[in-house]
Amino acid sequence: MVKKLPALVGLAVLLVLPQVLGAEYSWLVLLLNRALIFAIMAIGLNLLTGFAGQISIGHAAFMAVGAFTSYGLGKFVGIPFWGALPIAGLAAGLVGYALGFPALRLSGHYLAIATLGFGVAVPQVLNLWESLTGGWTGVKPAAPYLLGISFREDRPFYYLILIALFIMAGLAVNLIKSRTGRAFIALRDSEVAAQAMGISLTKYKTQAFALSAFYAGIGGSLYAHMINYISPHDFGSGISMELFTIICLGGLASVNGSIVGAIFMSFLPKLTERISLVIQKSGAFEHSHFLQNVFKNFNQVLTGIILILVVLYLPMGLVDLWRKTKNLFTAKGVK
Amino acid sequence: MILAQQIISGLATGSLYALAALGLVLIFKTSDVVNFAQGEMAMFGTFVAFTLLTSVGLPFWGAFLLALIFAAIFGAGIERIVLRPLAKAPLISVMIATLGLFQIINGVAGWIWGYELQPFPTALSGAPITVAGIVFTMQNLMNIGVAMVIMFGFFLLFKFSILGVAMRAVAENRTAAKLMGVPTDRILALTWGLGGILAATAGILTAPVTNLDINFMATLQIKAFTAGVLGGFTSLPGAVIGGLALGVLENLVGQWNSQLQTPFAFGLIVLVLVIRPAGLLGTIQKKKV
Repeated sequence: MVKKLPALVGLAVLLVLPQVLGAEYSWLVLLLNRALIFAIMAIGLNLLTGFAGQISIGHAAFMAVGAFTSYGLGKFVGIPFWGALPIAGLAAGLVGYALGFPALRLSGHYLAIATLGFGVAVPQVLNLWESLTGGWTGVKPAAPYLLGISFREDRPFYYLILIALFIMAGLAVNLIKSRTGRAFIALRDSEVAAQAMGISLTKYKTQAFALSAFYAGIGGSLYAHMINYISPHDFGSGISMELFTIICLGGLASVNGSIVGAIFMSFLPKLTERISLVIQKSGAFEHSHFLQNVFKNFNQVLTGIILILVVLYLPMGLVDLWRKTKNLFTAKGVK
Repeated sequence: MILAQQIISGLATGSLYALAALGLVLIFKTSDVVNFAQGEMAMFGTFVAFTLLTSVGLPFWGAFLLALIFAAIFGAGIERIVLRPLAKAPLISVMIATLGLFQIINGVAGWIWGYELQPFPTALSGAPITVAGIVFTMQNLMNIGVAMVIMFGFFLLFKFSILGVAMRAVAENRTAAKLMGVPTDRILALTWGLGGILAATAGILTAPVTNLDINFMATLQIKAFTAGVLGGFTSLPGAVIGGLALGVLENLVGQWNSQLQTPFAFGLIVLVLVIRPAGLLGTIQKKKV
């Protein structure tokens, strides 16, 4: 029980947080919604990259597939959000499965570059498919509606996302402990050794891709119906890079790390923006264009610096910080 | 005749891809790092050239040369400060570090030069030359010309100079090279410097066409990756061939539907990699178990 205490406290905070925040902090709830959706997708990417060892820096493409599948099913087929959400996940999963086959022959850098290309190409192809995606103009997915409750507001939607995150995280945690999860890890550590032990490379690599894309598809569908406005170019390489950054920052091969990373990466820009607003209000930098720019746009450079520092000093990610601090106070830390 | 025209324009774009890809492959081959910040290094160098041209008022070639010197120092500095401490880190960590570098260089450039799109002057202006019905614009001629000169100089350096031999030795086997008395650390920094020069050249040649802002290298960089993979990421001639081939093919596809250029480039990568996982001229190192 004591072991699970941090997780329980975290869950309790997540449950009450939107209720505690006043109306003037509504933007925070929206930000939190985005963070938790990214957490779902990051868990999926972590299954692929952290556990199965396959790099993908084009994951926003799967998110786009999920988002537009979900929108299209609601708009043209008349399937409500509740039905469209899992189908969107499956559709993205199918695309992921298909991408898994060419990826079978690739590894390391080659795979990274191929997925980068995939991530760039998919939004452009979707952009051409104007009847579904609206091209440059984009489309407006409707807010979900169930039993008289509209999920147009951010607070009800928050709980929807939280439930989804809970299910998906639980799924991932269990999967890692299953035969499939162990096969992923074995393939990551040595493809040759894993194959020698009878683990099918084809089966598990394509499964990893499909599974990871499924998570991204679910995230994409949730995102589309939360933002209520999507266009193919919202799913560019910037999002893919953000997801990749999240898992590396939070911690590779860690479900908790994915969630921590997603929250961190979503709040960092807002935090630096707030701080720089306060500094700017003092009017200290009115004479200097450079300093104004620095404070207006601090978060990108800060993200970069944090990334490099994490790689240098915390190779296991931010979750490792927790373990390290804990060790400071227990006998384990004493050498 | 239209076909010939398209091929010439394709070669002009392709030579820029080839330059950028050459920088990537050079760095990858010697230091085993896929440098995702390469495009941003090019962007930064181009902005330095831009400042020298507009604020300092240097003539084009003077600014060009100084910007290349800056790019070399910049590249070597990045290797020394960020990459060398990561020499023993796993592949993915190094990749993340270069993504971090991407963010830092892009952000700092925005601080210094702002976010507006700026026109970038070109060295040669003048009426296009028509030979046998094919139009050569000055920009195209310059792209092909400068790229050829740089690549040839590079080839000579790599093939015949003692520095080139040392670089090849480091690429082949770093430990063995070190045992033979090659100063591997210095060679790696030099390689990054050369990579910086190649990147900045590509940037300065691209800027007059696309105009200059902090994100102007994004598209070219993805094309450079494609070109590198197409040619085989471990082969320098492969990068050149990959770049030129991509430029020409893409131009031919663009003639038919310009929006399909990038999806086409991706389709090409997948196709080539499925048939030849190491690219056209690349080799795969088999891992011993």
